[in-house]
Amino acid sequence: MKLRHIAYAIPDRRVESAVISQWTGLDLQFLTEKIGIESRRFLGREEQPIDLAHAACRNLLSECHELDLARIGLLVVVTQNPDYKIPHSSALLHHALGLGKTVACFDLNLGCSGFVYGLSVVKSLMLAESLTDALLVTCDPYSRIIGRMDRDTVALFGDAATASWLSAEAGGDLGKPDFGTNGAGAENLMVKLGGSAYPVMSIDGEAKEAGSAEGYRLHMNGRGILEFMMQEVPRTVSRCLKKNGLELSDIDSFVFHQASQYLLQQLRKKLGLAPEKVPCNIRDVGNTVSSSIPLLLAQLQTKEGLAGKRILVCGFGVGLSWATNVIQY
Amino acid sequence: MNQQQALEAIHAALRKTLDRADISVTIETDLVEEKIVDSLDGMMFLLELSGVTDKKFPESDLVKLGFFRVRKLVEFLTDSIG
Repeated sequence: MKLRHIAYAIPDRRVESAVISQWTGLDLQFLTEKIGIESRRFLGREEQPIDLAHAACRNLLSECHELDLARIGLLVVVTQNPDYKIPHSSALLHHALGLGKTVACFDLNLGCSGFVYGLSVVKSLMLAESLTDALLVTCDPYSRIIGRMDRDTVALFGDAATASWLSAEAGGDLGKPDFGTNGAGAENLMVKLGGSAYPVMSIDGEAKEAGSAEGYRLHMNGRGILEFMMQEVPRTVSRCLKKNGLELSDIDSFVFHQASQYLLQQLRKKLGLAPEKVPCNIRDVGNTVSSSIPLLLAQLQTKEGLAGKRILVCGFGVGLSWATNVIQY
Repeated sequence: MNQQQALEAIHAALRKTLDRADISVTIETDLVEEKIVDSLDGMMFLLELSGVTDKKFPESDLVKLGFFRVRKLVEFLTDSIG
């Protein structure tokens, strides 16, 4: 099973870092030069996540005339911020795309590691069920869960959606993945209210007084997350390379989850990688959660082509979780 | 660890974090007030310092606790506090 093509969509609403600076009081130079983000996109008030996911799929169809939706046997949507608590977003997208009734659809509840996990999940199911074509979509709009004055999160995240076509015929070959989880760190990146532990309705079904708005928003412990990333990412990269019989020098590009420019620089230093081997696209889109890796791959695909390249992809975040793989184009 | 060793560890962690060989601090330095580290460098510095000294810093807000004052850091590293 191969990763054949990736397309993406970003919302029209652009939020400049100057605006974030006004909201939060954070220094503009710190936002643009240290975190490395000039602007990010947020969904419009009337726009829904499924609209953005659908736009990414339409872009995929317009870029790949040979893609026949009738051949799609599987649709997976990676999100932790679906349009509705029930049903799953992949069912809504299935309808929007007019897919056939025999198509398997489900959502994958993962954050920044979700795309790399998704590649393996889709590949495995395609092989198990002898499917020839599948779609892996990412769309996790954090703009809907971040407080506008939260200095820890609002400067970092942006919205985007991507649509990847996996095919038995052509594209990048997926290597052996490395996965991992440290559930002890789960509270470092969390939305506490609104799930079944703290439901919007009381447990016996009666309406209850809403909790604090902050509880429905993303909480991030920056120090805990930085520590997790600096410890686990080099280890998972090393394990993945070993599983695939490769060395650091065998990789053409290291496409990490685009957490922040600062973090990417620190990872690059720790791994001893040249700047040109660690592409970064965060300046105009921010950290787009599970969309960050496929979005960057799609841009590399357009700008310089991926044919013949060996790319390591590594996602890490919510969970805390991580996933790494190698794609040989 | 004595005070001199703590200061050396702080210098080593700062040099690594900031990629600068010319960093020099004294027991009176406040790393945040004197803008030697910003919030990101501060987190990275503590991670490096933790690695160098094998000391685990508290989970709470270390700026509020004064952990970016070198004196406080040295006291913590030399086990005078915490």
